[in-house]
Amino acid sequence: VSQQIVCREVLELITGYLEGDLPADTRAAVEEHLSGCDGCTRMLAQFRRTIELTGMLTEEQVTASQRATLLHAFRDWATA
Amino acid sequence: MTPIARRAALAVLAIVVAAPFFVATTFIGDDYLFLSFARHAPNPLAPFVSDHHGGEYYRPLPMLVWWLLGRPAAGSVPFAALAGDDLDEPALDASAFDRTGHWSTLPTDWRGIPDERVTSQETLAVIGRAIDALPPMQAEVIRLRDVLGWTSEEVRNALGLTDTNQRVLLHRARAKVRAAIEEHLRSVRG
Repeated sequence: VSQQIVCREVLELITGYLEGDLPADTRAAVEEHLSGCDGCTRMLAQFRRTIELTGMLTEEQVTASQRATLLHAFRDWATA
Repeated sequence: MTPIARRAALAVLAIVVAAPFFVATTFIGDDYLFLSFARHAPNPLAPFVSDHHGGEYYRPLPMLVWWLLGRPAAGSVPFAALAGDDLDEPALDASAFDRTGHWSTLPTDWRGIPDERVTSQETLAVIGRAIDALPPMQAEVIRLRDVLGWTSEEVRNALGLTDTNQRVLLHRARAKVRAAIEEHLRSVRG
């Protein structure tokens, strides 16, 4: 018997699903859920469209002024 | 010697050694710190960098002040301040689902929306603003992944993130950008 998941859980798994890094049984459960759920299929389509649209931005449209500072902060945080 | 005493001693030493240089680079002409701040406002590193003599030099006095005030504490920047304190929260609030965890209102179907309505400069501006409003690490992860097209491995390496951290930051970021687009589509539909 495969694992049953509900819409609320599928939503939190969408990025992992799109990244292709869910464990096989979780992935199968997501796919089975999607095949029978309009709402989650729409939400998955919304995420895909969001990614596609975000990809149309130019670098300048996203403020990068803090970037150098941030990279330093990350490094300090990671080595702290 | 306590850390504070050692730092004070180092500061005094640095000032004595470099004082003539401070005067020469910091207080001559229009190159005052506050002018530099005003002129280069969008670049947070500008006050520290001098472009005298056609090259870029780190300006010693601002660097020293920065080091004395903030640099030693940089390692203790709380994770939540950069990553956001909402990483454990769901991508939609609880009212989106009924008690059994199924949709209480069906999400709208974006597949039927014509491209020209979604891919306007207006929508892209909405996305840009949504990304700018994210906590710094969420903004950086979505910028690198979805705007610049880096792989998750490249982002993990560049930012020193674990697999899970990278995915959670990306998921939060995308969820908020998605919500901003939804809000925008709702408002233009009227």
